[in-house]
Amino acid sequence: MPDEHPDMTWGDLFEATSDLTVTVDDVREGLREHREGEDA
Amino acid sequence: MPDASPTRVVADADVLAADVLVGGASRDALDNVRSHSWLDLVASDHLLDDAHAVVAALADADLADAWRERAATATDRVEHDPGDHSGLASAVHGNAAHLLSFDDALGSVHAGMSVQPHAKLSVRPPDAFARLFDAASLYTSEFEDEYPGPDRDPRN
Repeated sequence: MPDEHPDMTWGDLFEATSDLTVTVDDVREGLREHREGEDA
Repeated sequence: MPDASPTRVVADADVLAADVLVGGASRDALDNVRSHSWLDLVASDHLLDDAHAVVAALADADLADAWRERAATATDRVEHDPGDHSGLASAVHGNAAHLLSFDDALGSVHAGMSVQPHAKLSVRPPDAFARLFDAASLYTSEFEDEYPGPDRDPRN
């Protein structure tokens, strides 16, 4: 993944993440942790 | 507060992050919005901050910054109390009729929030939105004219 992403389009962003193996459950857990951290 | 508009859509931070990190139903749902200039994706800074934090944690900070920059130009910005749930409050303050979220409990009353979901707010997971959203029917209903088809490149 490049170090910088100037003025990326949606297509550029999706291409940059195409090799990731993130799941919806990962995202939900990540958001839960983030919001709990903010509330703490 | 004006009535909720069926042309105004909020994606909660989980759907925003899944759109860029996972694809699938979240991307399908948001492609519906990105493909039509007459649909508004609504978000607060707090909501974009929440999604940015998830993207940074699961990908990297540079990509999260690039996502934040693109998302900021693609959204109609609203403000709300910082203590409110960012997705729900964006929908209420942004007069949105659609809130996309993987949390199906969001449509219920939330204690401690300065606002409550309005009756016209539909909270759906992105797969349901992508399956049920009918751009042609909505366009005809809203503009009393024939649906011209998608008018934007959803990858731009």
